[in-house]
Amino acid sequence: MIKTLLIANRGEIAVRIIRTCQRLGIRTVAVYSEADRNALFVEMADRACLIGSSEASASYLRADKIIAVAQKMQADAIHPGYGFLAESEELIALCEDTGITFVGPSRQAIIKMGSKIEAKFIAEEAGVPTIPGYHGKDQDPLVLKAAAEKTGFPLLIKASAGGGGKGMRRVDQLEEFDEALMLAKQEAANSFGDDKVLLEKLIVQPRHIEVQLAADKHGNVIHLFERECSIQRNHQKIIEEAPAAFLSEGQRDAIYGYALKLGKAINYDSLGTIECILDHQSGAIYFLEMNTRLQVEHPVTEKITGLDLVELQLRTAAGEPLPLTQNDVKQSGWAIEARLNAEDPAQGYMPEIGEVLAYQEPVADGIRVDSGVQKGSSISPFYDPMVAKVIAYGSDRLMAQQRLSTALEAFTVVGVGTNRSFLRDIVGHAQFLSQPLTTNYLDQVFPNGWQKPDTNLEMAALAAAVFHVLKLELASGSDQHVSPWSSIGAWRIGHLSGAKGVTTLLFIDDTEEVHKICLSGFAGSYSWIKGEEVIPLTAALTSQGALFIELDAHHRQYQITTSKDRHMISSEGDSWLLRQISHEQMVAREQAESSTGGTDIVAVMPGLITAVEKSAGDSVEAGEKVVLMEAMKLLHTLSAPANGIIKGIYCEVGENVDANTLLVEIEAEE
Amino acid sequence: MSVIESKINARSPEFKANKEQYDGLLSTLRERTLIAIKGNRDAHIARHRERGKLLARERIDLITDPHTAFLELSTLAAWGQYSKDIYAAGIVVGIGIVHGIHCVFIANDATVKGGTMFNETVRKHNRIQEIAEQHRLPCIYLVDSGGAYLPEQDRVFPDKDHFGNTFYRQCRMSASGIPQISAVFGGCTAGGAYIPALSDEVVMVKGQARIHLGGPSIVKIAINEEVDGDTLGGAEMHTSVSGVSDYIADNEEEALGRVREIIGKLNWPARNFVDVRSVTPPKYDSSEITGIISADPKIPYDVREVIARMVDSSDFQEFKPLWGSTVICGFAHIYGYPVGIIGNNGVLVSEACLKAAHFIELCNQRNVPLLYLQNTTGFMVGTDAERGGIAKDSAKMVYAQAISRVPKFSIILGGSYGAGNYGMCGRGFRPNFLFAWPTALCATMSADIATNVMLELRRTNLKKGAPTPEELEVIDKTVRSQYEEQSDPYYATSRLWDDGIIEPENTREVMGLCLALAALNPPAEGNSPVYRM
Repeated sequence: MIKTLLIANRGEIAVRIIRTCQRLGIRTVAVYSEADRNALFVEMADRACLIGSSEASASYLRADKIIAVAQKMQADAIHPGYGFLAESEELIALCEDTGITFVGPSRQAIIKMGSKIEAKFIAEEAGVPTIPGYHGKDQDPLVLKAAAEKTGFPLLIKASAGGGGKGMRRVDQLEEFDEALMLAKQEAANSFGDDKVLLEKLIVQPRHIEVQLAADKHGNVIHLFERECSIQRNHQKIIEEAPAAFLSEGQRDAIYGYALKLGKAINYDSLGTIECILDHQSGAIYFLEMNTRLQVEHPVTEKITGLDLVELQLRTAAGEPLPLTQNDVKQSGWAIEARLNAEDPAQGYMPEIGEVLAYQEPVADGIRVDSGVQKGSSISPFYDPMVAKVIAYGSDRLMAQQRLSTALEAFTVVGVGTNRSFLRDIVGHAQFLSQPLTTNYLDQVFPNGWQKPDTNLEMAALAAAVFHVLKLELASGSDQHVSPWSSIGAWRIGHLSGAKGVTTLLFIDDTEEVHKICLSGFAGSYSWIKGEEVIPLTAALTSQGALFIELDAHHRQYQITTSKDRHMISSEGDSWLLRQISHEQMVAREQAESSTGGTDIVAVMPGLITAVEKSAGDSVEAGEKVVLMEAMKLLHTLSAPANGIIKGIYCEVGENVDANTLLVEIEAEE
Repeated sequence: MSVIESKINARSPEFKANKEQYDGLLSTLRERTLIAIKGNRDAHIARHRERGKLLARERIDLITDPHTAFLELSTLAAWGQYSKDIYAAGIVVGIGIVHGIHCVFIANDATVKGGTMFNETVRKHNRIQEIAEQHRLPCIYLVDSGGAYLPEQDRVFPDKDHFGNTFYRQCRMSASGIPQISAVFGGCTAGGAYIPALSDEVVMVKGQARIHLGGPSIVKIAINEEVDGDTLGGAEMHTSVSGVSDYIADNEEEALGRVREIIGKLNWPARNFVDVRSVTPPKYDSSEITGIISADPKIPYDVREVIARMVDSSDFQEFKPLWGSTVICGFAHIYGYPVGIIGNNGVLVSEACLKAAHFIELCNQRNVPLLYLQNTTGFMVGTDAERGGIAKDSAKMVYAQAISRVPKFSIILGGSYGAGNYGMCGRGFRPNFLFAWPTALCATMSADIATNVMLELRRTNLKKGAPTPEELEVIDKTVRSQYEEQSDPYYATSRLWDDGIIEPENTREVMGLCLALAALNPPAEGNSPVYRM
């Protein structure tokens, strides 16, 4: 058995692996970058070594540094987690050279499955169907047409050299083929200087179904049932479940069969996943690719089988035979996982970064949370924005879905925006339970894109105002002396006569809109003054710090966390971040707005400048692209906010810039 | 801890009757207060708003720190004195906090006769400046006034405590280091121009504020020049040409924000010179006070029951409880601030006077502020009292109080008659603040006694011969109505004999605010002897 394990990863998966090691008595060594110095996994590991600066290319992707640490710390095995070096030939090679056990499959398996084309070939060889099409060199239109007829319709004609949708045509029936081929070839020639095309069957309603495999170095290969991961954003899974709903027994058996066949064909010897596409219309199953590592979504399989997949992985890597046969593996119940990411689903999944000011995981029956963050953690722009995985388990799918919804509502992350409301809306949509999921799910249920529920933004501002006021009043009950000037509220000589003092509080939301809340009253009984309208309300703080507001006979509960002038307000699964400003700050804002108009370009988050498309003296139009910046794995276009002349450019390509850095100064046209 | 054990039965018929009667007094007070603050002038208020202007108290709401107290004084000044109501004498004066700094506010109410100055307006102005000077509080002038109300100019302009005195005080305070800040929202003509002109820093609102020694009509008459008000004395001219103003604001909110900013940068450290404690509420509900105060002023009540509903934890360390029982003295805390309380439980006899004088000396020695709860017909009369030296003993009580160096506060709960008013720190003895309850009766003597005295004088006037019953009836009626009218608390507050009428239930808050202000000042230096009397 492994004695000391180095974990060549970070975040939640490092924490996840450490937990199993702790249970098995395996000493753990974490490696970390500068950005992760205070991370939870570093704190939890028995030993930890700094391996480089924050960029992954200087730390988590440096196999040489990781091997050096493993040798220095006398680790006898390395677990790569997922991502980073999990499917890296280089790391395995170095492990082989140094005699360190790689927790994963053989080098051969990784090489074979690393190339999609080869993987597809191996699958076809093994009798596992792949998506039909034609990849041949013979570009004779008649040959192509014959291949098209064989492939079936609808299909896609794609430029072989292509990408980005150029030279791609959908063909729904044979009669359209000739014309479509001609146009596609023209486009391909124009765009890529190469008119070669390939054909691929178009699956209109694809479902993403995958099978978990477990194998050992003694030739045993078993499956641990399937998972469905059809709900994806930007081709990344966000909701995963096991088992898959709306799958016939025949389909299930077929897909397990394919997975086992393929695993055996390549002498697979570790944990792996066979990913397939299920054509919802025809019911056909096609092999897509194989992941030769632990998957993000492995917990749903753990929940329904009761197995610890990390333990299986460690034991088989150490040469032990699988501790169970196919017949021993049983599944019961249903598990659904949601990936809580620090991103804004309403703004193209724009990453959110910052410090986690408050953090409270849901605690409930059937709820597991795998997380790498805690209060005080930083969500940095260097790595993927996953904060936590919430895994709900229930005796059936409905119960798992209900538990997940409730858990998402109870999850508090303050300081960094998350996709929590989005996840809740995905899982809570009627279609989630009523129809089979496909990869078109998000487009179907949010045809105009998901929007943050902003109807309650004003209520959130009200809650923040009431919270602020209650906190001020609470000071009078404290052990410290507080002057009555600030503890008896907006007390006025005429307040019993009905001439009450008005407290005006100002908040700014993330779109920079100002919300003005006017309140009168004291000691939990207030009036909300909205112009001519006066709305009475009562409010109280619970001992747990929650805020209750009763307004219009409606009882609402808010969780509010305040850090300096920032209030994070959560209620019923929605959350808002509001910044409180003083009267004079608002005046200063108004003056600043009227004097500058905000025409400069400022980095909204830290990132790497990848292109500067203008120079000083150039004239620009509003909306014109000026700078490209890469942050959190996404490319952001920074455009001129107004027509004008560029006065100065204060960044260069390749430079890492901090948030709020002035990048380009633009003198606006009058 | 010496917690007062209340003997009040809130279910007794007496309690209920008292409360019912007091509720009537309170509804009158509330009705009048509301009128003074915003009543009976909807058209004026609407016109004011149409000009994009905020009401005086709204301006104060926005300058003071959110959700903090504002102690407005003399809201019922000028009440009932003029043929048309001059609500709150057309000016709002009081104390509030800005960036935690206690500041005095003087805000003209342009919805009342254009914010012009009456006698009571000027006196409120002077009175709050006196408080500012005494407590060293920065002054914020929110100017929106048409200057002196000319038909009343003889009661506004010439005397030593009239309009000129406000400028005198402004200059003296500024020179002594108490900041004087003005924000101008409307006209400042003639004398009014000196409020901003004599201020340390001035903000003017564009398009609204005007400062000129002579307005367009006077200019036309005097030098035959045609000019509009904005050119003559507008914000842009004064901020960019004459230099009369330091800051220009596009609107009122911006001007108020500027004032907040100025105060925030005053370099005005927080001060506190007393030993404060954490705040605890009284053990008994302050709303019960109105059931304790006898509906009939002739029926006495125990002032300790009032104290029990005013001080922290109802904790009252009574001094000399077994001696001089018609005056109650003792130490307590209100909102965490130490206070020495002197309250009446009947007529002031010699022993009571000596006890009070001793207690005043104790408070002075320890720098504990004094709070007088007035409810007395005065000092004891009669042969025994005079032979016992009531004149010199009461003089000790008056003397000790007059030379007292600690902050003093008076609340007139009921009778404040004759020399009793002096002994219990009436207005003439310059308490830091003096408030009245709706049951206050302040006069040389009660209407009953005054009538009887006058009747007796007439009967014993031999020169005029024996009075006819009709004559006596006329005397009775005249004297009684004079005393009744003049000892009415609204008569008193209208003339600024106090700083306002407050409700019994609010008294604890008001005293907390006042004691917090008093704690800002260091104690007087030098010895303060305690003579056992």
